[in-house]
Amino acid sequence: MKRWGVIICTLLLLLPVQGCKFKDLDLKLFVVAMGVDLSESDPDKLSVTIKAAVPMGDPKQASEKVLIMTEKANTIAEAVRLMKSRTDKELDFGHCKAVIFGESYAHKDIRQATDWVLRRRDMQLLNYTAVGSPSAKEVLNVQPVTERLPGNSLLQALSMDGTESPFIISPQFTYNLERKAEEIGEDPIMPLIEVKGESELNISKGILFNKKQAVMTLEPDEVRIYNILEGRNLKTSLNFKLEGVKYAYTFLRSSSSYKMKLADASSPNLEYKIKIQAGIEENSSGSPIDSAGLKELSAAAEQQLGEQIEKVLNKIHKTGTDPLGWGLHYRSRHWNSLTAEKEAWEDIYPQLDFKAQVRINIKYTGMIR
Amino acid sequence: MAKDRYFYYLFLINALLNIVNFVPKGLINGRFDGSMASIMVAVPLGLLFTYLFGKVMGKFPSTGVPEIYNQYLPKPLSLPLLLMFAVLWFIAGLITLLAFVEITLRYISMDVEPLTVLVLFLMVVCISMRINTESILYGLEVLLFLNFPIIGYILFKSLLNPQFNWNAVLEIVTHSAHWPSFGGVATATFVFSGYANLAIFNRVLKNVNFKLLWLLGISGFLVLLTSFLIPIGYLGTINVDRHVYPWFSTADVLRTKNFVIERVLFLFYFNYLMLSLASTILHWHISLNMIKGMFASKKRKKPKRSFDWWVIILFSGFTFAAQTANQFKLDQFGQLFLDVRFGGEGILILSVYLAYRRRKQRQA
Repeated sequence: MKRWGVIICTLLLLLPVQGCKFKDLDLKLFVVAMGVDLSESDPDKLSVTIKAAVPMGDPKQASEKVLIMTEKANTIAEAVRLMKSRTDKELDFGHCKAVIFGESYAHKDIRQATDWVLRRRDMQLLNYTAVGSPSAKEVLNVQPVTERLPGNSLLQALSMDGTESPFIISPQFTYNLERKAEEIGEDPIMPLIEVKGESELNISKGILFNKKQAVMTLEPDEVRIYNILEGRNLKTSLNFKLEGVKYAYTFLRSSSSYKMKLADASSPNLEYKIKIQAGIEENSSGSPIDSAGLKELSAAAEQQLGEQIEKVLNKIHKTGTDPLGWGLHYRSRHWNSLTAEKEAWEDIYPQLDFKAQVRINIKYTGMIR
Repeated sequence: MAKDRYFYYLFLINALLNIVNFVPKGLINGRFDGSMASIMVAVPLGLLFTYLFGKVMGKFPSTGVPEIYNQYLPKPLSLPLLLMFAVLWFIAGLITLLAFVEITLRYISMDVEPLTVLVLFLMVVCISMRINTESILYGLEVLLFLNFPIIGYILFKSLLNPQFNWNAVLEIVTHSAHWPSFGGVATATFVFSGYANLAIFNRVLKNVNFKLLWLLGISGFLVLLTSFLIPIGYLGTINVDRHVYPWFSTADVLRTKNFVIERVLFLFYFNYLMLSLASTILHWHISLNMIKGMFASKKRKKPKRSFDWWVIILFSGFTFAAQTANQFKLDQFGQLFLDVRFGGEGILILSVYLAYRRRKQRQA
């Protein structure tokens, strides 16, 4: 009895040995990024591009090998299946790190692509999303000279692991995108990647979305303001002019918060408070700065930044989108039911008046006075 | 005799396992309709149940529920009760097991046959559930000690992430002013249900003193809040209910630089794999003992050894049959079980109390 039990168990343990169907590494192609465009020939079809890394023996000395494939089909799933018959190796999406939407596709409706990305079980929720201009395909085709691993330069820029530019919108993962696309009172925003020449990408703009499509592009200056408002301790510098002299100051510390003043129902207010500690980085006159001068500079910088911020906020407000989650903020501070909050916010939002209170404390003048 | 700290492990494993047993899902479904209020009600209620059952079982030192029933309740009452509890505990384990098979397929590999995974899980569980009650407790302690730091790390990690949206969490908290629902309370009390395992484990546990009851309350409350609110912080107040397993999606959102693999998901998966199997072993062990209790007569205390194997075959058969259900059925079944279980716990406490009263009458 006992012996039979042991024999049966051993046989059962052998089951998974054949069953896993796991493919060896050299039989796989790892997709690192994918792009979705509208097909030019047929507006109903999508054009899907993948960028895959070809596994090499020694990653240290390997000259990078990249495979880029484009396929047109009605659905992304179909396009991927069509691609599979064009390669000898199995496509693996488990390491895909970026999803790029073509600009024209983003302006139409991105829901089909986001649905596929989230529904597919081997795609991580941590895919960076961005919009590619002129198209996702062309963005993926660019091979920057600094790139050492396939597709890596794109990821390093979007993730801020590498370069930390104030003009790149903080990482927007697929789960952020989906969360904001469904949330009441928050809308998606994505960085815009532009192709510059054959081997250069420029990520300095942003795109605002309503629930399903792109509605407006933010220029680099505006993206920087957005980043100041959205996060803490942004690494950037800003320019201002005082009496014909050009100055630039770097941020040492920054923080932003806002308050909604809704007591007066006819003119609801949203007041941003931005606190910045800064140091002078450049002074076009070259003359030394004294203690009184520093205060003057701070005041001038405050005033000019305040104006810029209000301009950007009003511009965003005009599009009717809510990339900074003011609506969710409103909902999170009111105890009404979901529908009541939603309706109230829909009434309040168009009337919102934005104010920015900036406090800049320029503490240092750099290494020289 | 094991020390009474083991009682708290029974609580802990159940509390941690709520993620697999559809508790977050149930609470998330009612997030705008009184889930927060249900949690507030569930904590004192869960503590009350724990206290009452602990007290009443304390009147029968070193005895399990089957012996109590057989001795003090009439046969027409004790048999259906034992059968009911055997089924309830079996289903508790069954849901954990099936949910985990589905999670494995979804997150690890779709290419593996579901049956293969199920057979492997069943082998582990069925063989281990036969070991004696005390050994299970000792194993449980080691397992929790190994897994608890990892869970702590994941929680820590998830709360410190800048992508965590506190406004979304606050939005749910500001929906607390709502009447609790029966379903919500039943779902939330699952976190405290670990005490019910005392039904069998009372055989080997010393009487529980309830000095640390407040600790159960606080930890249960925190477990409920984290398992309900953290997915909302990441997946949004509206979007969260689209995720089939909200907590596994949440783990997928996290990334770590201090481990061999970047994705916290895998760490989380293996962690919960161990806990789920242990919890299933625990539940089925109790179910097995309840069934044995049904066949115990006054002459022969224990049925033959081969009896276990028939039960294993029965359990496996039901599991294979249940495995054919689709995702929505399993989900509904899991939710339904949470409600039924709540009622079952009430009956358990009442019936043991009844037995206690009858003993007193006899002695008088």
